[in-house]
Amino acid sequence: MNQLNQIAKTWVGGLGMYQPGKPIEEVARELGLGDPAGIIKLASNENALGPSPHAIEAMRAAAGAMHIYPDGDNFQLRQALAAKLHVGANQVFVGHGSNEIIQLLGHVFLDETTNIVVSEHAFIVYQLVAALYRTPVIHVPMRDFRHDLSAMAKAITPQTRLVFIANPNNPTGTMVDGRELDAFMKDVPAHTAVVLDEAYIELLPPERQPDTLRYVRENRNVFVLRTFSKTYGLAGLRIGYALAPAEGVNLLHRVRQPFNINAMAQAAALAALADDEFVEQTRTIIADGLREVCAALDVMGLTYVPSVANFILVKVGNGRKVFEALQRRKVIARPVDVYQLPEYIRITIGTPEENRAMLAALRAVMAGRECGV
Amino acid sequence: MSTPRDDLICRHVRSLHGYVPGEQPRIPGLIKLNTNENPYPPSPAVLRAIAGTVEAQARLYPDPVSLALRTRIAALHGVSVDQVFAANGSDEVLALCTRAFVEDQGVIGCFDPSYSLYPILAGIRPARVETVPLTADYGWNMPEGYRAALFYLTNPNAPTSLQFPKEKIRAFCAAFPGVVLIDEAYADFAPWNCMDLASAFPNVLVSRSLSKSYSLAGLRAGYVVGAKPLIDALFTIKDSYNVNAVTQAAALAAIDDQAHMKANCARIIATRERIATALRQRGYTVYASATNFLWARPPAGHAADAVFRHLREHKVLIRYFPGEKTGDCIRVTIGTDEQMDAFLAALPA
Repeated sequence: MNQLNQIAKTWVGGLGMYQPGKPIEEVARELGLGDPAGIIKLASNENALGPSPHAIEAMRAAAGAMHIYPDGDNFQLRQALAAKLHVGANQVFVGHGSNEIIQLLGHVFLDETTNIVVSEHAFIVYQLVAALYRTPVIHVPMRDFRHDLSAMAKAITPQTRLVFIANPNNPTGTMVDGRELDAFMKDVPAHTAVVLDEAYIELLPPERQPDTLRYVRENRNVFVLRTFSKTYGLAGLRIGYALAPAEGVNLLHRVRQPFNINAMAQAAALAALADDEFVEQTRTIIADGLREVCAALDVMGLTYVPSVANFILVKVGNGRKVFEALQRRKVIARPVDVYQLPEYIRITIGTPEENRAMLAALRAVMAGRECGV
Repeated sequence: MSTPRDDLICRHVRSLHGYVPGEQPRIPGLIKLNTNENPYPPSPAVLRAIAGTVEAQARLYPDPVSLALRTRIAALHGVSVDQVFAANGSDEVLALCTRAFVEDQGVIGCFDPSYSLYPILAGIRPARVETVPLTADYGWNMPEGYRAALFYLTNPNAPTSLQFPKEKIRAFCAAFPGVVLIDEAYADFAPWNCMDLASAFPNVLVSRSLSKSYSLAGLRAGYVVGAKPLIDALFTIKDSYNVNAVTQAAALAAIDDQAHMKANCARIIATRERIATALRQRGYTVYASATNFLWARPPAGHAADAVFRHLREHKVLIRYFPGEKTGDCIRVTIGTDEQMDAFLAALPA
């Protein structure tokens, strides 16, 4: 027998793994549903419209140069983001999805002597990353499914290095506004950095997006995270970014891989960023979809948490069972029991056709009591 | 405004410097022989796979465990799929190993000279690097009873282009108490490799890159083969979606077309041997390369850094590594025959 358990680091065996939304092919295989084309995936908050056509075009054009290393400096993309968002190019860090940036933040700030503060139903990756660095997590209860920022500020201890605020939050779909954030930022002590994870922020009309980049320009202890996975429809390419004071960006550079972003993702992101029309189309299809889905849920008598993002948290009774019953009807939603929300499922807003098919399946599942709810 | 506070940063991070990649300048007409890229395009099947993926798959999160790609890699090497980990470039494998197999304050080893990324990866962790100096001719020089938690063994080695004797490698794997990561980024250009050791020993991982032989540097594709418990540990700590969808599809298509890859490698090897001979005729000491680059010492009267600068002025970019062990040599990537003729013509007389 080998000694691998002795070789591996003692704490690795105890780690949990992130459970992503199920891929379509996997569900088709598991349930013997045959053609994956008939399955509707509303599990991972992907963009129903796909990427911008300009991004697809840019990827096709880039395909001929894949034997050359990517630009490890992400020069063009950082320049474009800086110009669009009115920050310095040295305040922009490009990551392999914002997920990588969350890990890199752990590398820079966390160890077993520190802690992080998050909301009880916050995006789960924060606590998984904390576990990687053996860092304790302080959970703060939410209020009406929203971050209770004053309670979070009070929860900060002398050991707190990072506070994670997903805004809007996944899986609740709720957000805090600029006024609340301003008040919170005043309460955060100098030994703590605030991570504002704005993965879904571009889905809001610009006037409803809190001006968090002001904190970056004011040189505060802040990292604002954004992604091309949601509004820009590029989840498959793995590309996101952080906006932070130059000192914070430099720290992330020190712990990253030299070529962390592939050349295809750089080309696609650059083209997607310039396509404001596509972002507007996405906002419209999500807003219309949310309205239609909520109206139907009202008719069905189901309660839900009002959402500003491209998904909705619906109270169904036994979330795990309803998830499984929906899956048998070729609709993949997301159970959220790992978020301490066992009575709920989270459903991504898709195209109008996908939404209607989802609603029909949900109606049948709930009416048929096929899952003992 | 707040004052920056260094004390918030983990101690080992404060003193770090990032990796310095080869330059990627955009000078018209420049011949780039500095980052060991393949001058020939990937298989046409790769381009078809990319075209198919960008439209249909870009909006969806990629398969988090790269199952189809890993299944194909497993078939290629005759191992089971749970012995394969697919990565965002083999650099990701190297980095994950520092976190999976080395405790804080543990020791990470590598040869000197070797791939310049290793000490940087080790520095990202609160770990100590202990380099093992090679002989003056860059040969195997492992001290008896050498111990570390992790050893990066590059075979063929970079930037020296040489392979170590296989029996030395095998004996080391058997005796070493920690994990041996055999980095085979250049193995497809070499007469033999160490993939069999990944199945022969419980503490050996063999990593491969698709950047060089398969012409996919831009897409960041690499993988590692080894015993299941080691592979499981890498899965436990990896980023949730570590390989993007386009790369998964392109890498699968590239590995499927072995004939294309082997033909490209054969062309590069033929060019390599021709240029090695030409350099020797000019008085250079050229090491017997098992890679897609040459490691060469200029003749007396020509300093390596002066050769590097002279070539750059003539629009040919090669790589120069300053330092006691590497500063008297140049590293030249093998490009097309045309590019290499331009390189020879641009050499100082």
